[in-house]
Amino acid sequence: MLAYAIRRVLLAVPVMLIVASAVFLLMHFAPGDPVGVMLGPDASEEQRLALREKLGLDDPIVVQYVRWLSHVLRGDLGQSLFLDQPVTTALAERAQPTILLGILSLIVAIVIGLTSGILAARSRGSWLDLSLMGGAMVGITVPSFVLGLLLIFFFAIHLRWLPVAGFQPLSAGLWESLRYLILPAITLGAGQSAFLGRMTRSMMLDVLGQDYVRTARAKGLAEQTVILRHTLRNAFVPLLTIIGLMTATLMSGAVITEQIFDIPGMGRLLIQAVVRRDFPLVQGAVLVIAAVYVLINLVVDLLVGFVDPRIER
Amino acid sequence: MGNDFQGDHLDVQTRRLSRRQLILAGIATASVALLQACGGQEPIPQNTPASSGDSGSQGGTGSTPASTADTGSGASATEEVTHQRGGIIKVAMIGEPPSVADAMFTTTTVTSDITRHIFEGLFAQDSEFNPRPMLVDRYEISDDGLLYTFTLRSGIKFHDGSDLTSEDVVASLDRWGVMTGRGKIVYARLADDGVQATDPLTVTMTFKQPTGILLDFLALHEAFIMPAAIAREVGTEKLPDEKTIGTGPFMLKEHQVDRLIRLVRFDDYQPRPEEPDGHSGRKEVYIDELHIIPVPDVTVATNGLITGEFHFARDVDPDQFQLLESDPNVVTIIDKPGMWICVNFNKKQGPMTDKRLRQVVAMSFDRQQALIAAFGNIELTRLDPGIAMQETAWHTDVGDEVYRNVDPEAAKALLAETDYNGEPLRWLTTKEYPYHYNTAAYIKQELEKIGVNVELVVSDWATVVQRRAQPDLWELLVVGLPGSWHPATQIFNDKEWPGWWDDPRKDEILSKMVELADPEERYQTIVEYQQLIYEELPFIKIGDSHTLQARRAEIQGYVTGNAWFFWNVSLKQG
Repeated sequence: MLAYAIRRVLLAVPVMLIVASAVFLLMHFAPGDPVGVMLGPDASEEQRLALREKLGLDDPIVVQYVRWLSHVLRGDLGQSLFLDQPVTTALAERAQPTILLGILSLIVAIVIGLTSGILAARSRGSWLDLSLMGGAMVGITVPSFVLGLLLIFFFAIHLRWLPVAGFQPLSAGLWESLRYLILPAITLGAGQSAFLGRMTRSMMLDVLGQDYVRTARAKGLAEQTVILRHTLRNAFVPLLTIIGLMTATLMSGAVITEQIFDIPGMGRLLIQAVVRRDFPLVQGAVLVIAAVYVLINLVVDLLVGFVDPRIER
Repeated sequence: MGNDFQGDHLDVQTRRLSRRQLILAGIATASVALLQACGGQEPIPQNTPASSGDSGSQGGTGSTPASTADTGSGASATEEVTHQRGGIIKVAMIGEPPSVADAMFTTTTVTSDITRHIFEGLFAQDSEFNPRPMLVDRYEISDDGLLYTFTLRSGIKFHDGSDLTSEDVVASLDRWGVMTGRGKIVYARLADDGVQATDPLTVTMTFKQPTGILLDFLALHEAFIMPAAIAREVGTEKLPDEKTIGTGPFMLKEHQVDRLIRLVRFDDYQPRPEEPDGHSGRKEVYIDELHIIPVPDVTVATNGLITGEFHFARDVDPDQFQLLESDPNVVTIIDKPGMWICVNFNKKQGPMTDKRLRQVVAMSFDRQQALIAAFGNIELTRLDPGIAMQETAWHTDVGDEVYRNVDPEAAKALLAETDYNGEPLRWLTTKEYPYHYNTAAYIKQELEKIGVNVELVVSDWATVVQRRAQPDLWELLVVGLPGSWHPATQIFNDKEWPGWWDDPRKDEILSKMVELADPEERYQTIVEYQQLIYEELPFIKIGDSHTLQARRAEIQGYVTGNAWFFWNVSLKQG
């Protein structure tokens, strides 16, 4: 198991470097000038040139690439051009909102998704199944920004139970932080739960048709035991992979949800960095996001091996 | 807003998703209908602002006659306001500024909006944009117009507790003279002994040639004064947060990037004795703190205003104008003068170097229709030929007959006389700022009716900014320009600025405009200048656009005009 994990981590290094290098090239070959964005249009050519020189943007692209890579290999992601702070600091500051939102929306997705999927599979063809899967279909088709805005209008503007937008860190108090995240977490988690619900139902039905389930029932096991111990556990392997990918997506920042709810997270930061042509920040953020994906995939693979030892073998 | 004076940084952050807006409008309508159906016609209950009483009230009251020129709710009367101290005002700002308050480093509006709260200059603009003394107690100009002597007010303190001296002024102006375009104009005209601190409270500026516009330039936010040691240490670098120390009524207390800029009242601030007038005169701070919160999405800002989470939204979606107008707790503000927009031509190379072709464009489209296409809400626009807007002392109607001459048939006839042979004219534009694209799309349609082909080259704003600097890449583009700037300070005066207007007559007029001390004579140069613009058509003015802002009704004493500020205002208690 350990050797497997080490091999996967080592394999991840070139993957991350390729991703980051591709982003570096794409950003630098794309038109757009970060200096113009920083100084404003009234700046003189002299000022622009001076700032370009100071930031090293006038060097040949190969020089810039080698410089950036050598810094990255030493663990230095550089300095954000626009925010005037180290990229690692900028990313660290945005990590808390994104991680909190990711965890909460994942809880929403898993609780609603797994429960509805199991219930629908157990009552296949019933009104409950049709209702749950109809709801899931709505959840998948309604864009998150529409759901988000509807939630804002009802719970924040009309009822005034929750804030319209914004973020409070955990240091402001658990409830103070949570109340800002409830609506975004529902917005983000609803679509994922709908997808997960449909997948769970499908996997469960697949397993429920297996001989060993029939055998378990023939042995007189309670239905709850059949579902939880025999069916769900076997259906869980593909679901784990889906939840893993979902986790990686949620932890890398949800651009639209962060924008609608004005959450200063990774997604919003990345979009702003692209628009501002903040090269080091975009490169650093993509590198971190790639690392998150690689890490979570690794964890999922290890978990899958744990849940189903046949895969490890 | 994607206008040039506000700066690229700001522009790139106001990405409005038109599809979302449409859906939002639909949802809003549906929600209102649904809620009304469920709950009757009950208005949204007044929400106690989150800030009221958040911090300890320090007691004390003040009474100020405040001119509330808000447009919303029909409020336009002058009201007597009794101010009470305390509370926090939360402002939704369109984005994180590239520098919190260093208006010498960047020209972006989000920065200068904060600058005016923290820093002060020797002069400040009044409500008509005239320079009025701020840190200066008195000043003299020699008869030949070459020597300016400024005596500073005594007892003025910086936020770090140090006293303002003439050394601070000299060091700050020296930095201004190196870092800004207007500072460079002034410094290029200085004599060898230039700016001198002749005693602790006296500064002299000696010129080689008369520079009558000096006071107008010194009244701009960018000519702010900071401690000499900081000015020298920072040099041309961006002013860091910990060195953002001015003499203004607010101090920078905390800056969480992308989350909060927290200003607190400067208790040692010494207000001037004169009545408040624009950014000049007496500044009393009644609130304890001013929180500036970056909110890139205008819809979020509007919603937060309705629920009371914000007290002021710097930019409001015009599509939500009616929604806000109907809310008794919100007052809409049409902030004038705002900006004016124009079609700018590439005069360095290509077909638009032919003045006749520029005249063809000028006669081809209806200005009013273009403004409606650009901004939708007609209440936020105005037809006017002036390159300085009506609210300023520099406005003139000269050129109005050219401005209003729309004659597609005459345009078609003139087109036939040119060398234009049907090649597509490349129009750089962006959808990030709807007015850029919508104006281009409307004028393209009108031009094609008379036989001019236009190719819209659509990209993001940062790309437009980069491409417009290359004369081989475009023929036309839309530009937004400040209506509150003195004509001598407009960016198109620089012949290197994209558009490349290089005309010796312009330089001659501008030289007089900078030089003449007599306001009447200087005004005549503005008239001449505008006449030249309508004769040469280096660009075609389309019209004025005002900014839609909104505030909570509990803010007392708010005065509109020439950008927002939060001195002389208070929060209604209880």
